[in-house]
Amino acid sequence: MEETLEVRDLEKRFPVSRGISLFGGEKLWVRAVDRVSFTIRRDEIMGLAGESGCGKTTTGRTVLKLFEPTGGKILFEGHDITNLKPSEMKQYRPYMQMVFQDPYRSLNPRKNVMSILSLPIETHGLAKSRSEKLEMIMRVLDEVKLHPAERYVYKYPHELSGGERQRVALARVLVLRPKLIVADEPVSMLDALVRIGVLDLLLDLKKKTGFACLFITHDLALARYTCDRIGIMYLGRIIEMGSKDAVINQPAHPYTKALISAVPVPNPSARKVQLKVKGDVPSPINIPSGCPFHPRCPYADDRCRKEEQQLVRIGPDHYVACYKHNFI
Amino acid sequence: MALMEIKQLKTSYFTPEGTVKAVDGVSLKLEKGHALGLVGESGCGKTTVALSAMKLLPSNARITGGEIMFNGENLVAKTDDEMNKIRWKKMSLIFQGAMNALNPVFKVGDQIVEALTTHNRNMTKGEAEKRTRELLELVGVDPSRAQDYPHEFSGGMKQRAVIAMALSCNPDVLVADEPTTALDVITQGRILELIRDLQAKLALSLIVITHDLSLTAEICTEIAIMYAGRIAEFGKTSDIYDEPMHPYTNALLGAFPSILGPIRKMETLAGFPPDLRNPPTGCRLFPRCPYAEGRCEEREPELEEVTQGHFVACYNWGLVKQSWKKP
Repeated sequence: MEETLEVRDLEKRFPVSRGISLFGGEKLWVRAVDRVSFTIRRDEIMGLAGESGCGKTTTGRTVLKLFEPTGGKILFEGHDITNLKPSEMKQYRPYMQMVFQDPYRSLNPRKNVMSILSLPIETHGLAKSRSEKLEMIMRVLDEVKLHPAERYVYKYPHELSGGERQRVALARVLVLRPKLIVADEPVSMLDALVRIGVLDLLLDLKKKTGFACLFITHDLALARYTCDRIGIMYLGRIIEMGSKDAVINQPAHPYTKALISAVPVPNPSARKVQLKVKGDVPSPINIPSGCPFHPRCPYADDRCRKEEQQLVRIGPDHYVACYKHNFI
Repeated sequence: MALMEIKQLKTSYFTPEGTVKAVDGVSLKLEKGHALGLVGESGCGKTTVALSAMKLLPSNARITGGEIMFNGENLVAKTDDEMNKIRWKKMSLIFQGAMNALNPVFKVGDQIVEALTTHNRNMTKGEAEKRTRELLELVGVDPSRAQDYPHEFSGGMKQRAVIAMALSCNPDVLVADEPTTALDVITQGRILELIRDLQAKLALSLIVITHDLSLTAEICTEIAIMYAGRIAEFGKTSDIYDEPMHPYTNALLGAFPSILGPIRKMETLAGFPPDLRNPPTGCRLFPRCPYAEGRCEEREPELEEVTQGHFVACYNWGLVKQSWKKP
């Protein structure tokens, strides 16, 4: 199976109440993820990028069924998992894993590395004996380059640096030999030099053990470094998607252009595209009609205000949801 | 004469586990109207330098040596009362995450008014309100929003309000600690633009403390790279980006992926910064440095001026300079 993950028209809405319903308060919905479709192949890292509140994290969690989707389909290795009950999901869980943003909160401070890594092995019954379990733990610590492994097994999270903790978090996932990893801003809490170490480790491990990865980030420069393909999200929708070269070097959507022009460049003499947009991201409770970006877009016209834009193919692996992409 | 000159500053934290020499012999210069970037990883002492300059250190920390010359006066010798006349009016600080420090139960405008009336005893409330509206306008917030509460502001607007507050008493120097972390990229771009505008408009002198070398490329005129409580390299922005001479600067520059140009393999240094309770003798980068040799371990290299205004603390700066390939 080439496609590890296929997501079709995925939708996730959350109810929010305004006022007290007993007294006629209205029931409102936040459409956090709105008809999102993409596929991730084996050995591919797909980036989801966008500003806070764009729905990238909700997409990642819904794909793993940590949130129940309210619409659309999720196919994992061809199996439809959209409506599976938690008990039925259990058979897929070891293969679909998540790495969280904050390694200071994702590891239990009362457990040492040994018990942190034992838990997934025991939960999924992967080791037949104690010695086999120990062997798996030592091997995975070696894989995430926590050498020598013996020095780390009895350490507690507070004895580890941020980079070491994130490596333990990665080990906890890798010990299951997952086929899909959702990594939600895995390096945003780490220092520059440590960050590159963890990213390179992720890329290395992908080469060695092979998995598909959904990489959620707000940092386009990092996405470009890490990912094979990138999807740009705005108010719950993917507004541009494609190979990283297409999206970063030839951005077609005005929002993508605005994002790229805002990224600071570590080179004072560099020049790049300049596109400024007005205002802030509107509330996801009141998503603007038509193209959700139209109130901020310098090119918006009547058609943008009325008509929803669908992703259309404009290159070998390049899709954009803006009918004006040719004129911009 | 430089507006601010820090000479051989030493600041330590006294903890039950031992004395942490967070800043250990730092010298810096800030000229009027310039923007100095103080860059390094967490724990390198960059925030401690700023807190020392403002004399806002926590109770377990003390300046143990050196001078902070500001407008010809040594701040280290100043008492709290004397510092109160300097803070806000001569020098003000935007703390990291300051936008979350706005009091949620007071209107944003009133909080700026309070800062104004506290520091200018003879200013009337009416004058302060007028000045608040001017300040908000200056930082690009609609002055009518002065009546709003912080929760009605977006993250970028809160940061603008905090900048307005820091500028309220017309300081000569603005110290900004990570002014854009926690902001989204478009908002960050706008705040950087605002800072550039303000610098031009008000001839403001700026110290920007950050871990992000791409940010300093956008707003700073000079950059100081800090490692383990010391200055590794100091120079004009173009010196640092085009001709880095310290292995640590090299490593940092190599660790920031760019949205432009070819994608290159990022490089990093093995190991971790040293424990500042017990720093190694010799160069502090020695255990991690690819250029290290015998003398690096024995004696710490002093900061030397290699070309006009470009200082580096490394014996092998010549080799490092040669090996640098600009991405």
